Amino acid sequence: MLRRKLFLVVVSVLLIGLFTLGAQAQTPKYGGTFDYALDRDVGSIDPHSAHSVQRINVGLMMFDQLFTFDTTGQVVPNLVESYEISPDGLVYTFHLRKGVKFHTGREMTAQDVKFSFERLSDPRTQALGYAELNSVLGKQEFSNGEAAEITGIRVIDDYTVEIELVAPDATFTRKLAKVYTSIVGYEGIGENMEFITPVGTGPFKYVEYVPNQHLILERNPDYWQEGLPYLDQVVVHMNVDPSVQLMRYQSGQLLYMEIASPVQKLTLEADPRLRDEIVAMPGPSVQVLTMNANFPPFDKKEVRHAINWAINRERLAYNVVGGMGEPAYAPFPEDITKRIGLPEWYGYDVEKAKALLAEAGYPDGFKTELVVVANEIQRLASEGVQADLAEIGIEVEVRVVESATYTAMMNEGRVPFGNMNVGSQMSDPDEVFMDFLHSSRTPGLNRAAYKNPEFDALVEKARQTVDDQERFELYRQAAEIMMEDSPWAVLYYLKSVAAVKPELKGIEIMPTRPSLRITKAWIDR
Amino acid sequence: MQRYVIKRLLIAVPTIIGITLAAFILMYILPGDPVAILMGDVLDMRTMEMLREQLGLNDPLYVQYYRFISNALRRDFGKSYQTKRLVNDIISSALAYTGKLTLAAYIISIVVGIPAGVFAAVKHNSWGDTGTMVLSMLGICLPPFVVALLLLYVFAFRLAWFPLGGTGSFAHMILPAVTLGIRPAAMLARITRSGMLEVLRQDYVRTARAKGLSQRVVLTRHALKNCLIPVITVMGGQIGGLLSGSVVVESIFSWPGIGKVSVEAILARDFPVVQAVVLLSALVVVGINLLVDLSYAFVDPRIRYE
Repeated sequence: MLRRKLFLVVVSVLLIGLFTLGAQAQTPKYGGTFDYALDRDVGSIDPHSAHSVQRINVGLMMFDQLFTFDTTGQVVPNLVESYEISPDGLVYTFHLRKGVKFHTGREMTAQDVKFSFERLSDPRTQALGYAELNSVLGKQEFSNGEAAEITGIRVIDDYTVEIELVAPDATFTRKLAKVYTSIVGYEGIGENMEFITPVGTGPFKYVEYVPNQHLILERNPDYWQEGLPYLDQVVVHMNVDPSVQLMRYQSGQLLYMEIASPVQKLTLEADPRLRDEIVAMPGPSVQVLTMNANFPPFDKKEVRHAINWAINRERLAYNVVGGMGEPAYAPFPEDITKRIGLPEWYGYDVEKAKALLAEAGYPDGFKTELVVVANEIQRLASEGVQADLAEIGIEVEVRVVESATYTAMMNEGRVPFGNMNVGSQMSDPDEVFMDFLHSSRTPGLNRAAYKNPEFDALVEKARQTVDDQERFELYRQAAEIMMEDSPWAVLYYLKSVAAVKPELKGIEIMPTRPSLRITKAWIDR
Repeated sequence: MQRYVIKRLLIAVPTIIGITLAAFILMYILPGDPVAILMGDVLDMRTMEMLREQLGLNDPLYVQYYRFISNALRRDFGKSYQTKRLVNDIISSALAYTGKLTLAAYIISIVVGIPAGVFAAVKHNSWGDTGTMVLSMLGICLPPFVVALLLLYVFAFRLAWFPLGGTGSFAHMILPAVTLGIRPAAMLARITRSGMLEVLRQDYVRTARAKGLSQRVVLTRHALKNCLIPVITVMGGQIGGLLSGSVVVESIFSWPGIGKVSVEAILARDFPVVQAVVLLSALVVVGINLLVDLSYAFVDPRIRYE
């Protein structure tokens, strides 16, 4: 176990080195086109509605945010040069970078920050990121039409903006790193706040978007990070079937391809020339089984514990899902688990699981149904779980449902036993515990209908604790309570897997959404 | 004839209203909330409420249906929930692509299917006949996604004669059109063959031969024309099939057509797009059926519409 971990750490360090230092060791070359194939259409290129990882990654190419994420999921200043937080944690003063230009050539100022944040919070925008600034003073009044502006956002001068919150918000700077809170130029926004054209300050400028076909971007020569980007052009190809992406990658038409299925990964691994081009980095999610205590036999804690002990996570992650996962023993995505430093809960112990089942009054097991969304990895994982639970006498019938139906069933809290992907956009424990486990989120994302006032109180307190060390301690305590209650059986961390041709250098894969940054990417040809 | 057409058009009105109403109700009965799908795995109740209000989803069902019908009569289908683009733009662009592909596939099916059927009938019980029929059986049995991937692998990936999916040139259209055309071509070949076999035994064909007419004239003018009725019926039905059956082909070849648009809209419960697609399909199918019925009179002068 320890040796394997050590090995993984070494490999990760090497890989990160490969992608960051590797790019610096050689002198980057300018020029070239980055072809990015998506299996669907981005649908919209309005960053304030960028909810899917595809939209977010594309949004990051054209737009900047006040903060941004690095490859380890840490938040770092971006359009902000420096900032101060008042001792009570309520007032943030941001000093903006000077000389940042929109793609129209106009300089970005504090007014643009205020404009962007008010557009995001205006119901007419119908932005999916509408809730991002809920903690800002005066946001509710503005959104309800009771105020003409968000009073908590104050422009001090061209390069200074002050934002006042209603209550301390530990993830506020992280929220300002999401593509949802991108700074947009008013030139691209209509009278009724509708999105007309992308006007950002990002590394690439918008050229053309033909829905369902392609999006073309070109190098922004006035980009504020000097000398960047290296690439001349980005072409995002929409609706490219994964099997066709694979052929395009094999024939060299694509230098980069996201791998979403174990079959694709195995196909590449089978080819000795392509095997070494596969990159697996910590991803932004963890896969779990939800066990809703409102339904027997999941009302018995021993049953939930038994299921936790019965799962062979190593087999699941390395074999069943073809190495797309990493065994998980804590309730967060991989990078968060490492950052807060959590212990490991529940190993693989069939005898213990059997004993717990007998203790709960089910010595011969029981029959149950596991609800899974129609997705290859999740279906495979569910079959793995089915096999593991059969060992302790639990007969599982896997029920695969289409995604909209799955979402409806799960959100209504109607599913006793389900398979769920717990994703974090900004790599923060708050998102996971607050959105997926707080009792106020039922019905909603708290699909196990978990309810423990002690847990709720810790999570609420953590949200208002700005000091990270103190905050992480609260999460460690909350995790202890939650893992003992076991509303979930944590299965594996989902990896961000991609294939990258050796001539493509400097791309950054992040454990957040956005998951891909190409600002420093270049092609060695 | 005129009265018949008017009668048929009048019947079409309740048919189309019925179809849209059924589709409307079905979409609302289906589990799945368009707003929850829009939000993905970030569910904020206040955002959802704001979106429902903005999208008019809080109104009673009959108000929503009335709004849809009255706007549809003005050819206004609103905006897609997912992309906020005008449904009219989405549909017209997708339809143009599907139309092109369908037309190409249709031409392939006729140019290949009918001559193959005639050939098989003329060479009845020969190796040529058996070979043609085996090929046509394969064409019917092979699922389009298998054909699509096979063609892509061989002609685009291995031989690199054609692009690996996408749009932009005539070459982009060939593989998807062939994939889409194979099945109707195979069906046409079989129907033409059986029709021809039937007709070739008729006295008037023997008479035509006895008159000393050339094989070509006998086949085209006397035989083929008389076995066209079932062929036209099949061809008419196939347009509907081609329009809706192209989902898989469009997906694999990244062809931005209506099939892909409708499937995505249904999965996302994007009601405005789904409604417009349903209405459009109903119009197309009703229209084509009418055209097929009318074309019988042209092919067979004995058929009269009173």
